Amino acid sequence: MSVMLSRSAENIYWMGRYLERAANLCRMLQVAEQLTVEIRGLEPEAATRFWSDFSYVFPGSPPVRGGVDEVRFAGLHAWLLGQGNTLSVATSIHHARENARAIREYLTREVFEQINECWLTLDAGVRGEASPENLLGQVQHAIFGIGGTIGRTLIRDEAWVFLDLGVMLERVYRVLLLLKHRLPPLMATPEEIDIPVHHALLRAVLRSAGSLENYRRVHGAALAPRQVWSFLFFDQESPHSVAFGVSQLEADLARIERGSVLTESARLVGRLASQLRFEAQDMLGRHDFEAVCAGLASDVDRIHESLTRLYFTV
Amino acid sequence: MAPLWKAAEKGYDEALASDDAARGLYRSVVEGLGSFDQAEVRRREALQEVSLVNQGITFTVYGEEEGTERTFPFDFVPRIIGSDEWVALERGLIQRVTAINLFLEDVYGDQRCLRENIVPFDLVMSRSDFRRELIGTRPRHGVFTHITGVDLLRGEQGEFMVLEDNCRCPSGVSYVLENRNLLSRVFPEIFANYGVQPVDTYPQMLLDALTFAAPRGRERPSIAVLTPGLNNSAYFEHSFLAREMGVPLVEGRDLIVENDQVSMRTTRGRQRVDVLYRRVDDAFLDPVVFNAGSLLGVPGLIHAWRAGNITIANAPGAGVADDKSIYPWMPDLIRFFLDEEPLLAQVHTYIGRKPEDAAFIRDNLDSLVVKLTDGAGGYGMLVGPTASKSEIAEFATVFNAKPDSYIAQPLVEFSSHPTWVGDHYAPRHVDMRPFVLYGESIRVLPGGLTRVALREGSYVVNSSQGGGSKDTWVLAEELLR
Repeated sequence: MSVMLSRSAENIYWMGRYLERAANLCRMLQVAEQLTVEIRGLEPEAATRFWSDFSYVFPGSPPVRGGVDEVRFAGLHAWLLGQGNTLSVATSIHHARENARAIREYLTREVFEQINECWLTLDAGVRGEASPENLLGQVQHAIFGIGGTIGRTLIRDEAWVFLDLGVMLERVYRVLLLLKHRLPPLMATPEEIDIPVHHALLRAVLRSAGSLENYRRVHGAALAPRQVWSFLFFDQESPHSVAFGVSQLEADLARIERGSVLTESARLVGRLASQLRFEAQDMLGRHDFEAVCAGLASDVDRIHESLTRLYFTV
Repeated sequence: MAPLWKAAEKGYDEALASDDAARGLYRSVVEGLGSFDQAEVRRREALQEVSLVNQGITFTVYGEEEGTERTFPFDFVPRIIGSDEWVALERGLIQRVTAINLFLEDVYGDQRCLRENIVPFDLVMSRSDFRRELIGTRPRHGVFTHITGVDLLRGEQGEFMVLEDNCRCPSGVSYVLENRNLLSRVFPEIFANYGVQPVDTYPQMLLDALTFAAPRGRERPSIAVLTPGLNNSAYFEHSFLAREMGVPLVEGRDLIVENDQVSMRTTRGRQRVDVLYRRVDDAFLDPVVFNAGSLLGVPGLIHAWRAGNITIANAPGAGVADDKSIYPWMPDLIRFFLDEEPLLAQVHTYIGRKPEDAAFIRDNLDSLVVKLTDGAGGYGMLVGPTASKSEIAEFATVFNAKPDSYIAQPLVEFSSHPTWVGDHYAPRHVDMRPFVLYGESIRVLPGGLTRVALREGSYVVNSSQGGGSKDTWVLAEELLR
């Protein structure tokens, strides 16, 4: 099928975004669960804050308040099952499935079946037939399964490119929001803070971005906030770094470029890629880290808008 | 202990003779299924349900919460049709579909059958599905119904008869393919002694028929399936057919007509469409010509079709051929257009327009099913054998005022088939819809959608009212063993 309908391109792009959003959120919830066990005895406020700060990484989701047990319980229900939360894993998988239904002719039977099964698992939780604690691991495995099935069964045609654009854009965007809100408090000097908790939180940031083991392969066990920043921003080989995601976006757009004229999306992505490649030292020297992340997140928003204008509303 | 098999007490039982013994073609299946105990059957039935749910093989239910999806219940006892009987049936279907298309070409063309009063002129002109706007339009090769679904029943002697033709957007073929797929995975053993003709050739057959129908000069036509959208009850099927044929599934909003050319909005700009397999009713196809309020259609589509720039399958206006007031004339139309006797029987129908038939209907209201020719969904209908005396008297008044608005048929005790009903096999009524494709030649998919009324004694096979479906086996040759 050589023709890609604009509406279908948008559906598959959003299917990718929703799947990636669900994968990120699931991973972050797993990290929060483990971190709570690890540090609640040492510094319960830090554990509580970690849960309540989810609403910064997923803006628009309702904040949760209370002690560590309350925020953990409410957070897990809200972000996994979506009770009153439009950015939950359940809502994301529901939207991914609706988009998948609209473009089944572009998917393999296996991919649709995996997405459908994942949705059925979550739906059982939404209907109160399974607890979120029991579902979290199961859903995370199901989402990994979807990713694997996509990788193993889908043809690398234009539909694949739009799927990957959705995945990469969502990933880069969430990593930027994660870093913007989770890293600055950890940039305080070590003398002022409790080292075990500090390290646990830094590890949690890396794990939230699916990058702890990759970081260790490059930098060993030494943990330093700016090094974490540098790795999650500029490493070209780690699949959850901003630079890696932007390189993928660049490659994806190159495959669907129209003729020799540079499109607005390609220009925006190219500029971002160039910044990450050649202005790393300047960026790392800046002290307004939050502003750097916010600026890049706005760039990602603009890329999304230009893709919509260029490909989805022909 | 193996579950018991019991033949139907009334009407024809397709699998079992009156002494409850399996008929010839069914012996191996009955033996095979009989070797499973109840627990094993239930385990496999559960697997089958999980498989349908996980694969999202569903239809959308209207009138409930928006977008409610349900699985179409599947009964694993296959219906078997021998090769000789199928060959005869196939001939009859080809004859009928040929006549239907000649009739459509004629009523939108020369109207010879109307001038010679084979079918009453005013009857055809007054049908809501006759599109006056399309008079003078002849689709490529004169084919109006590229896909026809013919609903069949078996009468009391087991003979097939046509209940109705579906010439607009007949649905159900995706279940034919999925049922085979499911049965072969859940009960592979029962296939062992049968040479069952494959049904998964349908997508290629359909693609061939649509390709052949393309406007002149388009050797590699751009083909798309047009769906009303995700919330349509048959959306799964629309998506299934697009996927199986490897063509885009489009909605009205994806299409645009400029200078009588139809294009799709794609990521690389507008791309021409040559053939549209539409699953949208005529009324909603083009707001310029038909229903002005339609949001599902494409403004200008009919104009592009009349200009010969696109093929629409099935052609607009084809619905007049399956109108139930035209049905009684179908044998006469076959004789008129083909000079042949009809090969397939149909339910005898009394026509209120004919004075002698009207008199018969009037005298036999208590034993007939009387239908308003323009009615649907049971409205304006009398089921004489189950109606009370006062209902019959009341209906007689209405009938006498306008007898030519009615047709009447005897109540057909159609055939039953063994069906698993939770813990045993029991006879349940079945019908069948074979699918006939009209491309370079007319071809019939060897199989069809067998629908089964799952409620005891019920004659209602519709999925929305407690119906299910079965795999239909057409044997390549008689039993191998």
